[in-house]
Amino acid sequence: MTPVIRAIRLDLLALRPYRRTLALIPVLAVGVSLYQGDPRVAPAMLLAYLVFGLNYPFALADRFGLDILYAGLGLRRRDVVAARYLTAAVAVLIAGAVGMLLSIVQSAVTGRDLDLSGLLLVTAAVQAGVGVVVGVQFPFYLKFGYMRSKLLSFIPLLLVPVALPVLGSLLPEGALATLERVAAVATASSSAAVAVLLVLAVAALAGSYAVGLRLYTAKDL
Amino acid sequence: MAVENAIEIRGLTKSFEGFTLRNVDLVLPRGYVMGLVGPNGSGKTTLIKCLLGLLHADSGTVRVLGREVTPETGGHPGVGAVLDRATYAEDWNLDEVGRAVGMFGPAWSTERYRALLDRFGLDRKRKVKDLSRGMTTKLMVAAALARDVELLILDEPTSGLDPTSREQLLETLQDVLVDDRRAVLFSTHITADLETIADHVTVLLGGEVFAAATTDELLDAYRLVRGGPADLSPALREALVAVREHRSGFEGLGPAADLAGLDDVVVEPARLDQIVAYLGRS
Repeated sequence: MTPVIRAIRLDLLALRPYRRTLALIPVLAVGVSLYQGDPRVAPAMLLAYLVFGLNYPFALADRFGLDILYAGLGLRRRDVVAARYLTAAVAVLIAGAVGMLLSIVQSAVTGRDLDLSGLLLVTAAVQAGVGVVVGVQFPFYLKFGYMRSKLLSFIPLLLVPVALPVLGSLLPEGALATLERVAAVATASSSAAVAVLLVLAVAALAGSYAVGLRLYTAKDL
Repeated sequence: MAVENAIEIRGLTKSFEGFTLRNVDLVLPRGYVMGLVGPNGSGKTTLIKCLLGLLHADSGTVRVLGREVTPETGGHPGVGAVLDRATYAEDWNLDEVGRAVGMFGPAWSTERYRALLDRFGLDRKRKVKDLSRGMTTKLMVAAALARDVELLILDEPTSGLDPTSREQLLETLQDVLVDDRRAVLFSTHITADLETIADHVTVLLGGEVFAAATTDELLDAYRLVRGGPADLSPALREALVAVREHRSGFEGLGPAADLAGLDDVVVEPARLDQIVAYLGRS
């Protein structure tokens, strides 16, 4: 068993006592989706709730001193960080797939029409969003711990709607036009848009991993 | 080839705001128990955290079981730590603790873990959060020993234990040391425990190693002196490491060599706790 797999298993073992609570996530997602009457809501809700699930290992590590247990057992910091990001990436992919499956089942049961390419696009967009959210949150958690930074980690996300127009006004016209052309190509077909969104999510997680690893390695436990 | 020393620390310095562990050298050979003593805030826990790869040293090196340990490398898997508080998820039961810890270490044995839990009177179905401090200490000892670790590091393990449990823990540690591959670093305030099991004692004061010797050498190196108020001459006061005066006289600790041949005062062997207490006052 590789150290990263051991770290993932330790995290999953730490989550085990809360499995019933976590099992409510898909139930809630389907419930909201049924209430909204739109099957496409299921993957979006499932992925949105998943963010809370992905925060759990950090919350538990903070509360019980699991970081010290992991280090004391001989896990390297890089393995713990890799485990958290790998878990997040796999969970986002699985939640997307499960969410789409729930949508299809809901559509079949309720007889509502479902545009599969639209469903894929919505799911990919939310997956990218989750990638960006956890990509912002994780380095904060790794540096300061969950309790100290759970609110702090939302600040960059809250700044995005402010920062984008400011950034747009600062960019030269040529750059803006290029960006618009790129956006037009990316959104010309749903499969191109899905690919772009997933690349964005992977890039967000990869960048976040590099920052998180540096911060966590430099930390005294 | 077996590595001779379980711990080798050279020139270890670690600073925090208001405290510095300064230039610590420490060697613990395999097969021995070292007591790490000193008053609160002397640096014992900082030193232990460096041994577990939890802290970044400002300078110096820490080698454990022949391998350099830093936060980048993580702790050595052959080390078992019993810290002042448990670092297990509190909602785990003791079987789940075993499942978690059993993924690591040279030779985990579920049978040995269960036997130790039975020996310590711990119910495997109980949750960590329902254990008392003493029970938690026993759990950490069981988890470490079931991994067949080569170095056991204990930070104040007996402080939450009743006398019977303390005795039981010390007996268990003595059993561990039947195998001379192993070594134990035992940080404690209760120095009476060390006279029972420690071969070496390192005294930390203000973040520095004040004394490092075998237990017998340390006990031989100091004497306790008692006398009436008139017996405390300036020369004797100068010779003492620390002195406590009261209405009926004084009591102090001094180097055995400097106190030889004194007639007017009572000079007697000092216990380890007295040596540590007086060194702390100095």
